[in-house]
Amino acid sequence: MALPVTILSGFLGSGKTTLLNHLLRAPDRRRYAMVVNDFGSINIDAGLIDQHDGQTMTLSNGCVCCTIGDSFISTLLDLTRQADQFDHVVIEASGVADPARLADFAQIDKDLCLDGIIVMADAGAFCEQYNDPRLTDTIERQINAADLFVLNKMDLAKPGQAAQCADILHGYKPDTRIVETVQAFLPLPLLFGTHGETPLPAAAHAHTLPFTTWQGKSGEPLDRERLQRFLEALPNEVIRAKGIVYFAGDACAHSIQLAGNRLDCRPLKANPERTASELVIIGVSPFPTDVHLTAQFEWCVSSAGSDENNSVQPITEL
Amino acid sequence: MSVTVYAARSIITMDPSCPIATHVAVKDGKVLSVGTLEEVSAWGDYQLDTQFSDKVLMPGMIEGHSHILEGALWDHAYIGFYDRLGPDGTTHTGLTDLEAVIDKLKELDAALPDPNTPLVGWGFDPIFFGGTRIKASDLDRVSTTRPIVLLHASLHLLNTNSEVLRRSEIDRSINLDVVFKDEHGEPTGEFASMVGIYLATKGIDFDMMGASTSSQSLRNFANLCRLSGVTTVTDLHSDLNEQTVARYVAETSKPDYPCRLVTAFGGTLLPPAEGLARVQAAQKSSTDKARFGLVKLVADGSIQGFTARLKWPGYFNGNPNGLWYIEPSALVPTIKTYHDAGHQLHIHTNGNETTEAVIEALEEVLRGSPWGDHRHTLQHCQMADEAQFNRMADLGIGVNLFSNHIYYWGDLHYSTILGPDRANKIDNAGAALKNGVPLAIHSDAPITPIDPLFTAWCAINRTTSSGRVLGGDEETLDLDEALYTITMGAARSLKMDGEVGSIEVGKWADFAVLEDDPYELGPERLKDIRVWGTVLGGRIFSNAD
Repeated sequence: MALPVTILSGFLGSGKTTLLNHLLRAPDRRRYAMVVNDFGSINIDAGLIDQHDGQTMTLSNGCVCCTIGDSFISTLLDLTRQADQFDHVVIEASGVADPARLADFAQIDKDLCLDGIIVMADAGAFCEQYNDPRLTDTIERQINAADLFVLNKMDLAKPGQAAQCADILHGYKPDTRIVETVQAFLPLPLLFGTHGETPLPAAAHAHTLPFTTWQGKSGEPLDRERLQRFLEALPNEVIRAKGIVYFAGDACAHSIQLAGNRLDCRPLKANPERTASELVIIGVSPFPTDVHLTAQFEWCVSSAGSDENNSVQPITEL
Repeated sequence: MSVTVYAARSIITMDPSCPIATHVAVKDGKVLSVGTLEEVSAWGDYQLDTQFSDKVLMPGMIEGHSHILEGALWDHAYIGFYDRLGPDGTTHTGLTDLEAVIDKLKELDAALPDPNTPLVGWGFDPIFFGGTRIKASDLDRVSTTRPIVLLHASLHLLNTNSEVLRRSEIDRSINLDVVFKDEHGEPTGEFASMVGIYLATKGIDFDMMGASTSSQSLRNFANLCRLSGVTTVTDLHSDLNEQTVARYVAETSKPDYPCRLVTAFGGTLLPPAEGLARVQAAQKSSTDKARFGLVKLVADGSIQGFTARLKWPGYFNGNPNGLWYIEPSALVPTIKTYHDAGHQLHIHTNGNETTEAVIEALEEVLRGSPWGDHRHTLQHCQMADEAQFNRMADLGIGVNLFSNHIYYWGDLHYSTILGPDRANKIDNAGAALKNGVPLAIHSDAPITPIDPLFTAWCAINRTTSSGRVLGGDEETLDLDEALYTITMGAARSLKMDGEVGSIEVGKWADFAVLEDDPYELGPERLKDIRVWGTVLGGRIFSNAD
């Protein structure tokens, strides 16, 4: 299986490191390999650190943090050489890096797969940064690359600032997914599309963004085109969708990934015994109703009625 | 130790009190005296050495901005468009069309015994091949089984043959801007260099950049210096980890190593606090021939790669603006960390928007932490205008201009990248001097070859490779200014002007030994001067050996 890679982008002060610190402590037992800009702000109990050689820090929970050091390429290659040691790679991009260029590495290497590009911003500072002519085009690149835009530090933002940010973001891509957070408390299911895991430490719950999950299952194969239309028409409140599905006339299972508005469907190399198609959709309020999502999913089953009678409708209009 | 007096046809000293001499006395590797035989013999007993009596001596030239990668690349095949002098002293003829490249690669392929050894070329410049893009099928004519990787001269692109595509599992299913495809949707084997290098390193287990600090690479680098009369050279972006420092010290300390090596730490390779600790540790290892303590920052990309940050009106061909390599808000804290600890900074700013942002950041740091002799230097700084030079002079900021760009990319700057107005003023050495900015000029080897006399020729004549002259009298240097710039100017930019850069009592006996006199040949032929060899700390290094 390809190792999933998340690109975490955003300017200094947007909360990237805070989010990384949450991940390192999250009780999800996921072994993260993190490529970070700076150890200085990685905040880990000394007792958790197994080894620290200045460039690589190994934690007792199976996570590893590396600084980019002399070469991003060699750092990433080192990680991919020990891919079986990790469940997920998180690459912290510098504030001015184009996250799409970092994502290229995850997309070009068959041993890696791009899980998502997360862009964080300080909700109270974003508009001013965007209006700085030296930064505008850099921020445009981030917006265009983002699968999920996280407006952080909402507790410090003035009323109306989040709406201003959203106007800017939707001016580039009307379907940009935006979530608002405090102290970078972002539930893992929204971040990674994972399901059924403990999200964040208890202390975080006061600030944790509420999210909703829908699950669908079908013993019948699905119609590829309909599933695509269904997923692409999901509203902006749907942040992630993941699944393993079977298509009519194709023995191979396919993995489905929706991160923001980017839909990725790829055949799986290992072909497990044919079982049911499963799909998980995760999002924030106002989330589509169970009834609607279930109806749409059932329509995707290839034996469902013909298109003439059941043309798929955007969920928001149902 | 005894005194040796060298007689020369002429000695260009760069000491304004005694600009031209005939004799120089050397003791303990240093200049004891320079002037007439009568003057230098006043010190007493000496041995007269007349081997340079038909040669011209000048201070060993100083390359203030180059990279050790130049040494490592010569382990691979040079396949560039322009003739290039190799570290063995032979000229590698430029390959001016694709067939010439293919023929050369076939020759190299036949000479490699192991069929799995990758064939790697560098300096590849198909932009001169009439607009046709090179495909994997072209390189398959050389070999379909041996991996072939060609790195472009710009270092921004890379071509491979089909074997590399196969080993890297690159096929039509990959849709990325950085993977070029043909009209049928098949990958052509051309990549943006970062992903290309990644794939090559992974797929064929070949580390293109990793060999830089090897003993052989350091040797190659120094030999290229000797061939061009350089006695002090820079590696202007290094990790300076313990191994690198140890290798640099060990190799340069050998008596037959013909160069002083000044290395700058890449200040963003580590967070500032850790970076500071690393450069300070390295500085303690400094020797007469290996010097540490400078810090390099890279604030944007390159103009010809369209990654430099330009002020309005931006790129002439409408290309989007380039990239910040340091977050602008991080400039002040990063600079301040090194500045406050007394480290001189060399800051890469190619585009004029970056130059402006860095000047502002330096000004802010200097307001809080005044330092009269900081000598922070903007590197490349190719698009600075009079206002920026003026401001730099007021703040004590120096500049090291990339004058070789005028020759190598001047035509492209004029036609495509910058347009006539800004191309005519690119690397404006005249304006820098007129405004009182301490000036050096450089090659940025391996981007262009190390050869300060050529670089000086560029700054004087401002002639492109097609023969177009960029700008006029306002932008040029005269011969005296240019010779000063590649010796004392560069020495000042490295804070080594008390030790090298002129032939003057107390300084190292570091000379360039020339067959021709720059003042006889004149500014138009400066690049044609033949270099016999060098003298480093009194030791003679002949190019014939």
